[in-house]
Amino acid sequence: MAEEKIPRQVEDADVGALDISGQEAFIHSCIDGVLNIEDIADLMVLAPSDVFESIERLVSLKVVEWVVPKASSAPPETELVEDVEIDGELQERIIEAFHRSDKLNHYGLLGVAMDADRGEIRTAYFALSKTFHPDAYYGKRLGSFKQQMEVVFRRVTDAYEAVGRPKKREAYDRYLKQSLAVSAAEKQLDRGEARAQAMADALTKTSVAERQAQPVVGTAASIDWSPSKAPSKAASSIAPGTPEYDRMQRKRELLERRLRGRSQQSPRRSQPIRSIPVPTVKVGHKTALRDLTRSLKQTAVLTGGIDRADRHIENARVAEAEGDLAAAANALRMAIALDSDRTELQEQYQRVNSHLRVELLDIHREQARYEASNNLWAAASISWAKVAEAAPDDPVAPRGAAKAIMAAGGDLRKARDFALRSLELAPDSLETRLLLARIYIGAGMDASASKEIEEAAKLDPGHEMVKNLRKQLGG
Amino acid sequence: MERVIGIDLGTFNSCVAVVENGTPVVIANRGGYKVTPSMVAVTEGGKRLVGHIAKRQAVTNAENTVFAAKRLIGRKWDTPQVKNAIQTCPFHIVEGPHGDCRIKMRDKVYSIPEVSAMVLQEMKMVAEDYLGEEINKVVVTVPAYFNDNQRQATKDAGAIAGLDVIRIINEPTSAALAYGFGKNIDRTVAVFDLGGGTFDISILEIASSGVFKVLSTAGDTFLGGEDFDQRVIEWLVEGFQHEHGIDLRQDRMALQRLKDAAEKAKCELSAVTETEVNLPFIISSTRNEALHLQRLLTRATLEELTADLIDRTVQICELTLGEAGLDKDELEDIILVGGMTRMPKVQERVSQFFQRDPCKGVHPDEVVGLGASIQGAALVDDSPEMDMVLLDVTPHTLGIMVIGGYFEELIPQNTTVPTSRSKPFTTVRENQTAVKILVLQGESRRAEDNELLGEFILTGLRRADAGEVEVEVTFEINADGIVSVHAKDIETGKEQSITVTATSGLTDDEIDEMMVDASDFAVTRREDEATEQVRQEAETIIAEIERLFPEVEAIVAGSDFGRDAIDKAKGVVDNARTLLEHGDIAGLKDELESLGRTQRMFKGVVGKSA
Repeated sequence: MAEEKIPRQVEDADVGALDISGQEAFIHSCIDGVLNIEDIADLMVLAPSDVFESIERLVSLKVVEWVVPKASSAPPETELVEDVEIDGELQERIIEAFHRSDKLNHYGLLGVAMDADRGEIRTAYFALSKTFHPDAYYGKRLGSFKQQMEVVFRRVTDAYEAVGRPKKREAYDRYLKQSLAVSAAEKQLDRGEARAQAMADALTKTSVAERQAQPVVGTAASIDWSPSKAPSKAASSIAPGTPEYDRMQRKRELLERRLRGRSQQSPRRSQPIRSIPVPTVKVGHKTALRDLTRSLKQTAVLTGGIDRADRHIENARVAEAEGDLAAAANALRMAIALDSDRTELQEQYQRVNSHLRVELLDIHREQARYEASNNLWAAASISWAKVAEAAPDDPVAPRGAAKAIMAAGGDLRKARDFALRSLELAPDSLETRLLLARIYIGAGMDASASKEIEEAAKLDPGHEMVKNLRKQLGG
Repeated sequence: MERVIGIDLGTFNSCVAVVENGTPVVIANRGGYKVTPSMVAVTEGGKRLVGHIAKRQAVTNAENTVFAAKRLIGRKWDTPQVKNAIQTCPFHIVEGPHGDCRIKMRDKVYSIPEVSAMVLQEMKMVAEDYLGEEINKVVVTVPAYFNDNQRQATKDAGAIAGLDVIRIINEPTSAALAYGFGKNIDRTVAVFDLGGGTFDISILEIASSGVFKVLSTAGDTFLGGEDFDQRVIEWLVEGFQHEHGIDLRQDRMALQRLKDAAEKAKCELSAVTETEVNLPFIISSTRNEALHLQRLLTRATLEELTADLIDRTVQICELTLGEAGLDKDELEDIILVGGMTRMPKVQERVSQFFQRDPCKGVHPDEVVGLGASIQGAALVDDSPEMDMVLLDVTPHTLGIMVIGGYFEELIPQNTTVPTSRSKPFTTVRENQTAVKILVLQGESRRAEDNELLGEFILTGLRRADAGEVEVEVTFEINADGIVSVHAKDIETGKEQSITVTATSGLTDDEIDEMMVDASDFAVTRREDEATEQVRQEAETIIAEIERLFPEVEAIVAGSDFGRDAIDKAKGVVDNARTLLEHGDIAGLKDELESLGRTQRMFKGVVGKSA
């Protein structure tokens, strides 16, 4: 932790000419001088040690170099030399926990496995409490450590409260699982496009593929995907139910943006190997990995396309039977890319895809409800917005989105748009009218607010909120 | 390591404890009692009396004897609770200069923390006498359901008494500490605390590693033994009115006697199934006849009179259990605390509700004080046997007022402290350059129904459209239970904050002033101590003589010598009484010898005839 190195690409190095594996090539494309090994491992669902190994190889090939980032991301030196009455070992523990705790999910924070029983969770929490509750050092000079301890203690307590009781834990586990599933499916869908494109490109640039064929096959066969290790890593990077979750989400989005931005900025790098989709998450990921491995092999021995299309169709059939609709949709897309003449493939793809959308919709809806009831308003507004998009006839979703945006202190214009959409679908909803009125008041648009309140009054003149809002506008 | 004592500052009784060599012990007062009445009086001569001595003279000095000051602490003058107290209390409650309430004894007005300080000071002295050293640090317990203002006022009381209140802890939590201390157990328990004035219920997890975690807590600060007494008083008063057409509540002294009798009857009914309330000469009729009150009270009647009160405690239990997300069968023990839990019906309902017999291992009157001393020692003592941590919760929701007069929650009730929570808020009007943050505590959706803890203004916001400027509000409760609130302009980073303190209705200057006052008082009080012994001795002898009086009279009444002796004895007792009342300790000291003689003589007469 003390001396964290970050990989950076060596400028003007020609990677295309190198003898590297698909994994190494992809890792290389992820390297931007900001992400550390753990970030990259998170994105790729690889063990950090594997990522480290690959990067070491890239370093030896002189296309990547190690840099030590500026102090901003590492704990400031002063924290270590502060004059306090706790020993150095504890100081280090506090600093580490403080800087790491916002990156972990509830299980990671408590230092237990995701399937730990209640007793284990309880014991772990109580042990952490005794270390991080400031009362344990009452009367001692703690300096800035006191506040850090309080922060760590709060995070650990939040985690314990979310998973320490069976009922709450069930909800959290479901949420965690869904978060993983949904982002898995979405990423597959998003990347499926690029991947199909890559396949199509590959077909036309057989020569490129052929040149790279041999090493790729070899590597693909020897890649140790270690699925038992990877998922827990992926899981521990999400911690919903806490404010840290938002931060982590933002970070993730940032990472994704960066990655997207990179491939957009440098189209010349979109060689087949680079465009290989990244399996980032646990759920459905075995299938995805198998799929990926196969396609790597296939890319390598690319000659025609038709029989490969059949294999993808077979893959799609298997995936659908296993309930992994995202994988099925992707496989079909691949098949279509390889053999665009078969219209029944298009139909099949449409069918699977619409199923998938319905499934995602349900998940988003359930997530939105969980988030709203746990005050994760920012997350809820996103989830409701997704539901609203996928189910344009449902008045509840846009209202939920508007409400969540309000509660999260977000953009009132967006909130208004959602509320209006909900109202279009269900003009007689008192709740929506009042919500809209509150949004207008929030935006200082008193005249519009009055109008909405009067509309609401028509629906239920005696409603307490109608009276309150009227009073408020009057004064 | 500085010694820390624990004080259970109860509505009716207080108790002080200390940890000695790793064992918590309750310290008895000079009278040998482990609990001291939380009563304060000012005599005609302007003397302050605290504890048993104040309780003993309550009947004859009802207007100047204050009890249950805890029910008023940290409360505003215009609250229904205070209005109710004015109706039922024999002493005078007046409005203070900060909308608080104060108490008038003789011609001086005291703030409530000042009155509580007198009790704390008494407890401090009890501890100092026992330990033979000066004590400055204390952990004080309060009902779990006390709000921040009430806690702050209790801290103020400590400051006035010259004590550094290093921690305020909740009474049921304290009881759980005493229950679990040194037991090496892993258990989830409920503490059912029905005291003289308040009811609390807390659910805790106790870990053998020495961690006590409160899961949830709830209660009612106006539900306790006194309400049970009140039901008995009403029953007696109504019966008397029915019989004689006179409302006894109009007479302060009668009311005080009724109060004592009702409490006594209630306590007796925990052991027997019926008891007689006998108050001779309770009042004079319009024709100047002396009237007596005599009525049989059965346990069944008492249970009937108080059924709804017990129901309420059970309802609150149910709520708390839900809060903690627990089923009844997940509780592994029930701890009963507070004198009222001696009532068989209470025990029965508790067992019925929790479907298990409550634990019998703790002393309901002492356990809270013991727990406070344990927490005190755990904080300052590094030794392994005191290696424990209490994870307490905030009993009320904290938040701010938002547009529409609504209360926006930031830290929900039953959140483990230390904690902090942030939420973004936005401006509501165009070109709004300032926001006012009203810090509130309570459970109502309407801001006005909650307790205002403080307010501040964040200015200098950028002029912009409504909703564009974001302000992040952060609430923080540290391990010491201190609440602080920051508001930050997200764009500019400009910050404004307050630490929520000194809202007990006293200004800092006033507290300073009172501290001087009290420390003066502490000095005079100390000088009194030698004389206190004389007083107690005299009181004991007088009581003994009076007890033997009827018997002696019956034996010796026949002889001239006997009549003479009786008259003489009467003279000695009357004389001693007068000296006592006037606080003439020197005279009393001289009188002690004749008192002793009379006592010996009486004992001799009774002994011989037997």
